[in-house]
Amino acid sequence: MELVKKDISGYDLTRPSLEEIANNTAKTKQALEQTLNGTIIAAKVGGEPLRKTQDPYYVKHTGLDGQERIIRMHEQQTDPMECVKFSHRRVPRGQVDDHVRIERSPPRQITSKDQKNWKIPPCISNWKNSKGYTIPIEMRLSADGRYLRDTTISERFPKHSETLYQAERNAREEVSAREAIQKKLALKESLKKENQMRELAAQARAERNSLVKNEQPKKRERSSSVEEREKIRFERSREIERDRRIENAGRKVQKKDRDMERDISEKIALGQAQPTKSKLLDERLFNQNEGVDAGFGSEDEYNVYDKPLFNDRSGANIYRNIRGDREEGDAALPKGRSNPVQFERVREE
Amino acid sequence: MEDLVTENLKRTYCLFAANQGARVKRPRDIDILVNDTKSRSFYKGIPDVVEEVIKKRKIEEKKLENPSYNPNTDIDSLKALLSRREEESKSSQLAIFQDKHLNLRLKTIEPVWHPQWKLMRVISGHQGWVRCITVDPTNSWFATGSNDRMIKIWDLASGQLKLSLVGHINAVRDLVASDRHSYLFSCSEDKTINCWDLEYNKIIRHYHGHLNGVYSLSIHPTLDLLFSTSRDCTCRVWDIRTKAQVMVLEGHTGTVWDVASQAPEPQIITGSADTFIKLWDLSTGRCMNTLTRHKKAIRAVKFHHEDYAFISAAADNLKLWKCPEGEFLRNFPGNGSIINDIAINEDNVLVTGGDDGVLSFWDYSSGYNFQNIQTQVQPGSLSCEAGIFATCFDRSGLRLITAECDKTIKIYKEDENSSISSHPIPPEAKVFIKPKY
Repeated sequence: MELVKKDISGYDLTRPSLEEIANNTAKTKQALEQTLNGTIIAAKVGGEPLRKTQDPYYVKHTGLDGQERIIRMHEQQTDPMECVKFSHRRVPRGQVDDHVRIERSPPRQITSKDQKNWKIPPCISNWKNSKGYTIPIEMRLSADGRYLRDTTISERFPKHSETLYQAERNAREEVSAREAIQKKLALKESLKKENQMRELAAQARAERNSLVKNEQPKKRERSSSVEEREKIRFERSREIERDRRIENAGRKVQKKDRDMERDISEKIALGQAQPTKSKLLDERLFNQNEGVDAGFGSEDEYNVYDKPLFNDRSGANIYRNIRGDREEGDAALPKGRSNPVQFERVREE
Repeated sequence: MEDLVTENLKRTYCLFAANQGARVKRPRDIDILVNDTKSRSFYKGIPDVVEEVIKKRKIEEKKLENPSYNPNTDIDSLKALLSRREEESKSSQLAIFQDKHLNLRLKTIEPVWHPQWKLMRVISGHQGWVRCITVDPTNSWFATGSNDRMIKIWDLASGQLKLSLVGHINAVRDLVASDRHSYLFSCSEDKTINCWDLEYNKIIRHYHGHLNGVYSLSIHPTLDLLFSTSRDCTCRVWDIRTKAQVMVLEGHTGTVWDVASQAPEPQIITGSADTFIKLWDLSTGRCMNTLTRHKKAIRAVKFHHEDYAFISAAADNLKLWKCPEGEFLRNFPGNGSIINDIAINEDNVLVTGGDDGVLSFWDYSSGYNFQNIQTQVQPGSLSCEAGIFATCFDRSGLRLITAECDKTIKIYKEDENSSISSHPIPPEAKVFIKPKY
């Protein structure tokens, strides 16, 4: 029981003077500098201080056969920048000073209240009873109360959903009404436009008619020389047409025929010749001037084959639905047999 | 003659060999006798008070044996936070206080009145527990480190987020903004210590070597040294510029929770989970003294700014120690909760942040606990997330910043409306000092 406090007024709690502090700092600095210099070098180069390699020296060695030889011994060179070989290891703890006087007061007596506070009741398991036996599943199910739960739905819930439903319907109706009105308006607009266009067209037609009427008397004033020239032009065109027809009928030389008859060098010059494609060899290998792998695309693309296997037929054509064909009533296919095949003997004549 | 002596030795050995190492049992009567003598010499000339005290003690003894005995006497005045022991000492103090004779004889310390503190601002920005705070030397911003691996820098005046620093891969446990460099040091549970250059907001140095999460940092005020303590039971000393580890201070057998440093001796003190405080000699790297008075893990140690003394906080008590040798001066009776951090300002207001979310304010000179604030968790957190991890005064000592378990940072200030008449110091807060004979 601490009744009164210790009198600490007698203690001198003033901090040491600045001079003393500076002295202390200088002393510490001096002491630390030595250890620090070593550690800095160690930290700089691969965790090991740079040391001078030993000079090589010579050893006299007598072999088993009695032959004497001189061996040169020198240190193996190491890379000073090499990483530390060993990662951090847990260094065993240094000597701990055990001779410390424990000065604390003895532990207080625990009151029963404290004891009660510390008592933690064991957890109640759903799987095992206090004796450690497993509880049967039906008891567990009945105990967990999942069937005891009474679901009560609030009165407001149906009301709420009803209102929501009503609101949605109203909204939909509104939207459709608005749409109908808009449609009607658009129709009216388009009708109006159409009428306008029609009027305009009629007006234009009327104008044109009036113009034609005005021009007709001019046509009659045409000179006879013009008429003659027209006649000649017409006849010439007829003649050209006739010639063309005759040419066609007599199969004169056509472009197609000309192409067929051309020499291969001529075809190459015209760019018409197509190289024949071989199906046995991979064409990508032929493009040698760009390198061997030029035709194969980039490296991460996986295309071993230059083209798909069934290129000429699509997937739909690989298999044919025979049953479907039959049902369509294909006359060419024979109808299914009902009885085994009967062979007929060939009669000799 | 020699034979006789050896014979004697043998006999004694036979007799007492079995008892070697056994504790000497003190009869109970002796204890009582010692206590009686002590109290008699102490209360010389005031027999009735002694009698009263003895009577009280008898009642207590009965209470200890049988807790159901008169339960009405057990009143919790401060939300049942203060221990029963303190209650009793207070009531007996009151008894002495009422006695005029004794009052004349005993020296007293009047607690200094301090204004009440109140919550000013709650800053929510971190996504994990906020573990640590540091205020910059210019008092314009403060930095917080959190379990969400981020360090956030906030404007002190407005509470606006200025910057988020990302670089750690585990909870940031401590931050120190250096007074002499434009550096911010951070340590983390990912075993790393980083040095941030605040001109570029980048990590410029790593201090590599801890084998486990690093829990606390401290900078030497005059030398370029950085101290870090860790779960690997060591305190390491780093050279700030070269990143080299100068020395390892080994000796603790538990997590070293906190470290504090100052220029005069002892230059480093560490508080550990093994309940010991160690004072270290920096020039040799040896332990100067081990203080063993605490019963619980020590999570915070702090040097007093003016007195040549330091304070340590454990779950049982706060203790004040004298520098340089570490002589025990005084207890600040704790409330039994774990204390995560302590802070003290120039007005000698001592603040402790508890793991149960209680922020306690003490008058340093008398040890009177003048205010307790239970923090409110921010909406959306569990009630068990009320916990204070770090407390820190700003450089002026007028704002208190706390880092909390509910992912917020709270700023407290002094209440202008509180006065000595609205929050008087109760008479029993007066501290009686044991006279010297």
